Amino acid sequence: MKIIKIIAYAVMLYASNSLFASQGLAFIHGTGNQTDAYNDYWTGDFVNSVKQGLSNTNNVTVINCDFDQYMWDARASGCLAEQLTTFIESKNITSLTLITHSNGGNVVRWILSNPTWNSRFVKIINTVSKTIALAPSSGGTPLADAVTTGNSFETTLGWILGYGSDAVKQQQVGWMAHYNQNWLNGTPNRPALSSQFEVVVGSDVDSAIWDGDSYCGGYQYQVALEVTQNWLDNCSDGFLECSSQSLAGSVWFKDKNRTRGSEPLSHHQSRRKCFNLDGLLRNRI
Amino acid sequence: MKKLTLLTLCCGLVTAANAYSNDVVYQFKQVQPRVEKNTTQSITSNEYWITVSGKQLRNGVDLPLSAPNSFVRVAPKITHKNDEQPYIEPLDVRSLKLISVDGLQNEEGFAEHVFAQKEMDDAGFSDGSVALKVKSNKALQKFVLKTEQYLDDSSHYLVHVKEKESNAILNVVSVNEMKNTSNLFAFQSLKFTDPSIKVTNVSARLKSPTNQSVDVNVTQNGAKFSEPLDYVGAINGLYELELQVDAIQSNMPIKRTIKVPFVNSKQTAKTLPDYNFKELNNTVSASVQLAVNEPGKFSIQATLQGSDDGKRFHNIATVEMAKTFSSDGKFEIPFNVSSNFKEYRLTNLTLKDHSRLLVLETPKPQYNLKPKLLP
Repeated sequence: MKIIKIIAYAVMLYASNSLFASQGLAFIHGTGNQTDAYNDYWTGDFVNSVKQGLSNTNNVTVINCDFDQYMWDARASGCLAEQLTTFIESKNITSLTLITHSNGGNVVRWILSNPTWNSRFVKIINTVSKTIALAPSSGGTPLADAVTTGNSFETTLGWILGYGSDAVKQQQVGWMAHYNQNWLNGTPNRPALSSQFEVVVGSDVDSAIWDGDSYCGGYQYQVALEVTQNWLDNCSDGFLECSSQSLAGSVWFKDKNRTRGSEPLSHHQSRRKCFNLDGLLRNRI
Repeated sequence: MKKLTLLTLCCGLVTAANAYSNDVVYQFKQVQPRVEKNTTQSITSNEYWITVSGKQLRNGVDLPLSAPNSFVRVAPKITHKNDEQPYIEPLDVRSLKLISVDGLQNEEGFAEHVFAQKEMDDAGFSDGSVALKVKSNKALQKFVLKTEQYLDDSSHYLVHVKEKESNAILNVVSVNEMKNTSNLFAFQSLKFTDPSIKVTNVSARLKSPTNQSVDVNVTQNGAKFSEPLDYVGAINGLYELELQVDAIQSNMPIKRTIKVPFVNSKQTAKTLPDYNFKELNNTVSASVQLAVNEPGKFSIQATLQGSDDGKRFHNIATVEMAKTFSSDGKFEIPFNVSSNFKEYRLTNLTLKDHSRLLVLETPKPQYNLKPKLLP
């Protein structure tokens, strides 16, 4: 009799979970060791606007991990997996949408491509329905090569890449080619990812002092990205070339094709409430 | 009787869970495609960098340029004035002069933009960098970079020239991994995409994840190392072969630097090709023996195929399984199946070393299958 009761409770528990099963949303930052990504990386304006696309706006988490490490490191993908698992279990999430920025896309691809690397990965793979990757560094960036060149002082580009970290080395163009060939899925001649990986591509940087659009997200960042564009080809967001951003998954849109006023999204602006990016995401999740 | 059935079912589930409690198993939603190993890489460069001393920079450093709008960054290399505090000799961009072979200076218009430390710092180059963007209409030019600033003889600076509009593109095609037993890293080709540019000299240095110091001798076949490389795998990063290439086109010098990453690999484990299969309800368990040379965590991915006539095999499912091995052992790979076949085999097998980040086995063009079904 006890066994039947236990099984009955189990069935009821399963049914109640199914009844309240819901969609969740996670914001996953790029390179850097974040402790308050909500304020420091994304800003509340952006997160709170995007999450309005959920039926339950409480089902949101903002990830804080150490993405200065290699993507396979326990402090990077392991930390991400732990925080996502806690979120999934505490909110009974059955369909999870991930919004990543920059190198956050690589850490997510590590999880989606290597299901047995960590025991938590399987549940995440089975729950993630879609990843929206904002300016992902899927093919690396020549800037990562530049800052590790010649063993120069490696705090270079700290504000955007982190400080001489393993994540910077990892995002060198040749290194990412190696990982894409051997360990990551979703790129040409590799198996597809287990769920959609939709990319938003930033293609230019506006920094004209007379152009109000240059000030969205902070004018100083726009000027800075004009300097970094000297390492990049003509289609880039100031940090990543368009070819790198669109290497994995499928392109959802290139900035100017959907943004308000056909404005480009610099690498900084693709994580800010600029040119209706937040509205586009809100309607997509 | 019902209680007994339920109890048996519960016990069965618990047993199955325990059997794989230390292992991680994932069955893909769809059968995974065959992916063979790509053992080569193709890398290009339109840039070069050199390290110069303060004395050299005062006297003038040759700076061949092959395109308009080249970007020249000069960064102090970190030095230690004492054991604790790193010291950077600051640079004054106004003291940097770009002099053409004709003796003209940048006041004559060779530097379109100069970027002082503050601008470079705002852009994130917080290492004391300064930069010049070179204004020139000629494709091939030879400049001398010098400073009028007093710099310590022994201080060191990185001069990094990026020529993103240049047609002088160096291309290296090489292997992307080296067998641990070999001291030779092989090139398939090292040349410029423009055949009129001829390589005159190549030198190399090796950057190791463990800072192992190894002499490198470049030959026509590749780079030969003075001693075996001590670090196996990629869990702490890749080796990088940094090649300095001098070339000439129309009697004008061209310089390029290129970084070629690679893995120093070793067969830390290998599968034995005698597989056994067991059926239990809706599960087919495939047993694969693993010969382990180095203890660690390994993963295996394989696709199960089934046949009723021993001739036509159908894809059933792909499973990846990871397990830690301290010595020789076996994977018992559980495949959830919806229907059973008389005969099974495994295909598209991939073996990876998670402890060292190595891909050990991938599907070969002609895979030797030895199906065997146990009662």
